[in-house]
Amino acid sequence: MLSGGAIAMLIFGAVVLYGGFAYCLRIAMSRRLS
Amino acid sequence: MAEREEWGSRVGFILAAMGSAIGLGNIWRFSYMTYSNGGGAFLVPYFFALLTAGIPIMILEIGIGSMTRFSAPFALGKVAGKKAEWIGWWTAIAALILNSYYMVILSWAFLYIFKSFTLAWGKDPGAYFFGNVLGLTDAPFILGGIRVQVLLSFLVIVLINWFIVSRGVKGGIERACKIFLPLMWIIVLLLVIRGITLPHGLEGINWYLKPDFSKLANHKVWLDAYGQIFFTLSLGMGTIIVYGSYLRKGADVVNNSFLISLGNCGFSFLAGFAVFGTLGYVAHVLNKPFEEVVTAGIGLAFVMYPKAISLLPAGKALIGILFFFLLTIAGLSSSISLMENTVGILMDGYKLNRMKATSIVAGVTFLIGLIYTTGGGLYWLDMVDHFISYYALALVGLLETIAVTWVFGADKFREFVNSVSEIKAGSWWTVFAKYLTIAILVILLLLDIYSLATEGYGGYPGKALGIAFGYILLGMIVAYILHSKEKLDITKEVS
Repeated sequence: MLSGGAIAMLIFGAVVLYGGFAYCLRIAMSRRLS
Repeated sequence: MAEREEWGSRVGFILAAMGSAIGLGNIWRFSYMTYSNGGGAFLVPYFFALLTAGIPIMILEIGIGSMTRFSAPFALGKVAGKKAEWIGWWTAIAALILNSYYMVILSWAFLYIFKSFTLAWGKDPGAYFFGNVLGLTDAPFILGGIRVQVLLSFLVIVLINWFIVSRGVKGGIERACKIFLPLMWIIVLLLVIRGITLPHGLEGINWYLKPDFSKLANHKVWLDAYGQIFFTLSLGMGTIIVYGSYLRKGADVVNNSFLISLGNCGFSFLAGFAVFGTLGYVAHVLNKPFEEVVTAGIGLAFVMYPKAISLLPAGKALIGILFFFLLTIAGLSSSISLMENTVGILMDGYKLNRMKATSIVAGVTFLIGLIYTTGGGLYWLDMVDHFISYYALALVGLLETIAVTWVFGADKFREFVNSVSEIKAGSWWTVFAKYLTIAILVILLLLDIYSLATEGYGGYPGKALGIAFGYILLGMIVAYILHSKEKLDITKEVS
């Protein structure tokens, strides 16, 4: 099983990288559609 | 004047630039660096370096390419005067030197796709790779002759690069990256699923991400994070500048920089799960402590991973084929960008047509890469790679940042990127690019010079290091000669 610390860092990494990417993608899409 | 080539779409540009950034290091270096620098805690300095240096310099490189619509020498010449052109010419030669050994590494990965069918490495992948494949000699000065299978594979890789780049920006590079990038993400996802579902795979992930925050007190961990960010994003090579120069007028700079950088780092983060899940399984099967199986670079790809493949409960050949195919296409998407940098510069500076420029660059790359196909080639590859990392990439990164932020003016540059971008580069950009990045790159360079002077590098004899360093200096001189004979006068060009 994953330790609590590893799970926390997994979430931290995923939120920054994939969340950040999704946020920028949303801006790009909304500008293109508007 | 012929019209400049352009990307067919925004998605095409983002995929090509992401392909340039995502390379072998994303698969075999990032996860090991994370593990050895405090596990998950390393993500803190890594993200800090990404936001304060990686993305700002990505904005700078795409920005000057897009603003001037020229490859590196002439883009830098336009913003900082004719003398700054030499920096860009140095990227043309450095990219050529780098590609000459990078493609040899790709040729090993390409060979291993076929070796995976029969698990040709047998019970001792280390002895097979260094002995049967590379024919590694005892010292750099014992070359031991050319390895025929490596040579043929290298020739195929050079020809694939030539084929893609000679077809142009839209019809070659963009089209290839629209195939490579989705494939890379799919394959890495499959390998992640295989890695974490193996018995004790999650133990490997624990080693990868379990945080040790005490390591963050060590300044070396922060410098490693900055070094990793700088090298993973393909900065200081001229490739991002030349890709930016093919953007349509008025195309976004800042948001594209965020998308490319986050996509690249997201790929590294994901690939770590595939690597460490598999290593957790290997440690368990071999009944060894994790520290004894964990490795990076060539040792991971061509020794430990083949060993892991041999130990898999099922689908051995398939996983091997997928892994080495992933390495090959991840490397190809980077090597075509390196080739395009030199090709784009020759096309701009000497008014050559694309086919002629690509053929010259491919031919020279093959010829200067021959040494790395010999039995002693690995030693020279390692030394030249070290010098290129610092005295080409980091040095160019430093000089181009000074040229844009201090000579051209950070505020003037920001004015341009903000006029075309969806996200605005605020005063944070000036602080990070003009002061912080320059300071970090100076520290990285000084530390390397100090360690080279006091400890040498990799235990190599001083004479061999001197020759490798002399090779880099020769490259700088060739760059200067090419610069002095160029046929493009930017002072007379209307872009």
